[in-house]
Amino acid sequence: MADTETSTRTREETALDIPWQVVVHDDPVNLMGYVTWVLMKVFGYDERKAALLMMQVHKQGRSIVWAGQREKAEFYAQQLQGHQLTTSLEKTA
Amino acid sequence: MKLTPSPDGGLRLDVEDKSDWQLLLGILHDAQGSGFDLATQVGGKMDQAADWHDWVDYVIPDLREGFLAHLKTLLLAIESARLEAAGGPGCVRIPREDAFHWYGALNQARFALEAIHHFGPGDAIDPGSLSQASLHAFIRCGFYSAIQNSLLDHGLE
Repeated sequence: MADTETSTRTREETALDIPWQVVVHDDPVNLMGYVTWVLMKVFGYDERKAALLMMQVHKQGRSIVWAGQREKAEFYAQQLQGHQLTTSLEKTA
Repeated sequence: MKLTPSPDGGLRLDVEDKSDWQLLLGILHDAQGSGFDLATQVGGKMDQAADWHDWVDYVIPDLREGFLAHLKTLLLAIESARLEAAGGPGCVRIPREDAFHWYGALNQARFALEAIHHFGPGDAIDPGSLSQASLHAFIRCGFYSAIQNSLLDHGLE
């Protein structure tokens, strides 16, 4: 019995710990300089990192711009959408 | 119309005549005219997240409200400047603190026009192949982009 409880608790904690990814998707409207500016503003990234992620969005259609706790991922997704970037959340595989 | 950086930051739009005022008010018309819902578009890919219904119930209405605030900032700035100029030559100021709202409103207009005309990346368009209505929309998109680029250089911080 004790073994089962331990096992269950561990699984729950692991599930909560699974990082969530914040994904920005490409669109035909947002200017590249603006996407870079938003990533710098929302995440505090330096210009180089923000520009690299922006180029990933532009060339590959999407970029994982942040990964971590779900609650914070939702906050970031809302911030990015408020800046008119199409954004989704995904669980890390 | 002339667009120049202000010495104290931000931008100023010098308006020459009635048609320039119509062009500026066209930003609001384009942003709202087609019934396009940008909040649903930017949040629409959240449907794979477990709390999609919460997103629809709480976040998307907040986004909609935020985007409407951008348009209200423009409407107030343009209409008050137009009244002051009695519809003739005048000036619309875009202070730094309003730059994000201006950028957002112009983006809404471009998103809405894109939803109707499907221009895609602008450099792939042959203007000669467009209908009259699409060509006018394409030119307006270019004008809105030009203001946005200036806002990136002189307004957004």
